[in-house]
Amino acid sequence: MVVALDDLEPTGLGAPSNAADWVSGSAGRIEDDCQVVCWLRSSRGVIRAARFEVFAGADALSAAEWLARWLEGRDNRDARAVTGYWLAQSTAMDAESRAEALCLEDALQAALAALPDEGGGRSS
Amino acid sequence: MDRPRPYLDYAATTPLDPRVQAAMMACYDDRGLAANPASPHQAGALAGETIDRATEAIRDYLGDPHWQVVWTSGATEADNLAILGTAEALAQRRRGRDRILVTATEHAAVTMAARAAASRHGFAVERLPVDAMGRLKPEVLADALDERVALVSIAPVNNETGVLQAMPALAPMVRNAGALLHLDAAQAGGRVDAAVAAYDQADMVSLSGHKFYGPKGIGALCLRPSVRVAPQLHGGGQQQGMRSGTLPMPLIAGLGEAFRLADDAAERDRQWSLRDGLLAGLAPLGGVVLNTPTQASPHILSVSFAGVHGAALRAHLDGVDVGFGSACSSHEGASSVLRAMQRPEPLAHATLRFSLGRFTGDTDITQAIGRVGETVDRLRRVSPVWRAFAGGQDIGALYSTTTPLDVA
Repeated sequence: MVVALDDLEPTGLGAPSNAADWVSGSAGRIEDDCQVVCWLRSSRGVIRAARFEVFAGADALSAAEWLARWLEGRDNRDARAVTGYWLAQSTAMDAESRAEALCLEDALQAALAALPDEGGGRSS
Repeated sequence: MDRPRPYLDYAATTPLDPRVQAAMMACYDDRGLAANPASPHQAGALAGETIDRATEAIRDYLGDPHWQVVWTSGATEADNLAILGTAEALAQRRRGRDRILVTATEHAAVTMAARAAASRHGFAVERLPVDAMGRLKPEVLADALDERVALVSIAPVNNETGVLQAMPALAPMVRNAGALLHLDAAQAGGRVDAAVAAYDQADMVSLSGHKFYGPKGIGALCLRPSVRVAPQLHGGGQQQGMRSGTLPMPLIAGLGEAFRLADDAAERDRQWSLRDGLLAGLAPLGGVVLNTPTQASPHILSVSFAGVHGAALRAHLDGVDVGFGSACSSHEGASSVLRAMQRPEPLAHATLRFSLGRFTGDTDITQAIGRVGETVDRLRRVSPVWRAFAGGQDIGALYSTTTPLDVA
C-alpha cells in the first residue's frame, strides 16, 4: 500500500504549517530506522486535527495517513485506546512493518500525554 | 509513442549492443547451425576461428597477446574459478602461503568464493578495510601483505560506487610480495583503460559479457600462462581441461565483439559530462551525500539522501530505473559496500546508484533528475529527520556517525 504523495497535504502527513495550538509527541530513533512525530490539535476532549511526520517505510506512511483521518473528531479517550497491533490490523500492514505500527502508537500516546487537558503542556 | 523510462542501471546489466547482436547472429549458418568448435569438420573449424577472433579481441583490450582466456558463464564463475581454482591448486602443491586478501567492498562472487576457499582448503581470508569513499589505501595493503599471502583480489572499479582503486600503486605491491593478483573487472572491463586497471600487472582478470553490452551467460577468466588453477567444472576436457563444456560460440563471439568496441576516451568524456550533469541536477536538493569519489569510473554515481527513508524511497520512486542501496527490505540490511564505507544504515538504505552507458542521453539524465528530485522532496516534507537537518542539525550528529560525509 503506497500513499499517493501528490496528496500529502490533505492526508495528514507532515508537520502543521502553523504549529500554534498543536501539541506533539515523538517516538523512535533514526538508528532504529523509524522515527515518528505525532501532532494533535484538540479542544474539549475531542481531537480536531491530527498529523504525522514519518521517517519509516511505505506501510507506515499509509498507516499514519489512515490514523490521522481516523483520529479527527474522536474523543481523546478513543485515541488513547489505539494500539500498534490494532493499527497494523486495521491497515493491513505487512508483518515486517509492525514495529513501525508500534512507533506510531508510541508517538500518538506521547502527543496525547502532552495535551493540556491531559495534564501535559504544549510541546510544540 | 511515449519515450521509455530512463534506464540508469547499467552497472546491473547493459543493453545488448546491436553490433554485438549482429556478430552473434552471424555465427549461425543457413541451417541455423552454430557448430561445436571442438568438432573435427569444416563447420567446427569455422567455429574455432570465431573463438580465436574473440580471444584476440579480449587480449587486445587487456593489452597483451599472451593472456590465456578461459570462457565461463559469467564473471561470477570466473571469480570462483580464480579464487577456488587457485586455492585448490596451491593447497595441492604449496603450503607456505595460506592467506587470501580481498577488499572489504568486493562483490559476493569474490567474498563468498574466498569464504569457500577457507572452508574447503584451509585458507585464512581477510577483508581489507576501505576509507569513507571506498578506497583501499596502499598503506593498508602494505600492512596486510607478507610471505604467507597467496592471493589478493581487488575490483579496479567497484560495482556500487564506481570508485576506481589506485591499481597502478597497489598492483606492484602484490607482485613484490610474491602473491597472485586477481582483478574482478566486471565493471572495469571495457570501460577503463588497461593501464588504469593495471591489467599488465595482474595474474588473473575476470570479465563479464552482460555488464558491457554483451550477452548474458558468458564471461571469461584471463590468466597468465604461468598461473595454475584447478578446474572447478569437470567433463569433456575443453579449454585445456580448465573448464569443461561445449563452448557457446555465439555468446563468445558476442563477448569478443563487445570488447572490440571498448569505450574510448571520447565516450568516457561523454559519460563524465552526463554524470556531472546528473550530480549538478541533484545537488540543489541539499543533503545529498556522495558515495562516489572524484576518482571513479564515469558510469556510476552513488548518492544517499539525508532525511529520506530508504524503504519509502524504494516504494515511491517511479518512472526511472536505478539501483538501490539495499535489498528489497530494509530489514535485510544495507549494502555491504556502503557498510564497509562506514555509512550509517539508515543513510545507506536511502541510497540510489545511478549507472549510465553508451546509450544514455541528456534526456535520460534530465528525466531522472526530475523524478528523483520530486520523490525525495515529497518524502522529506513528511520526514522529522529532514526537518531536523534542514533546521541546521549536523548530519553526523543526526545519524550518530563520526564518518566524514561529503555532502553536496
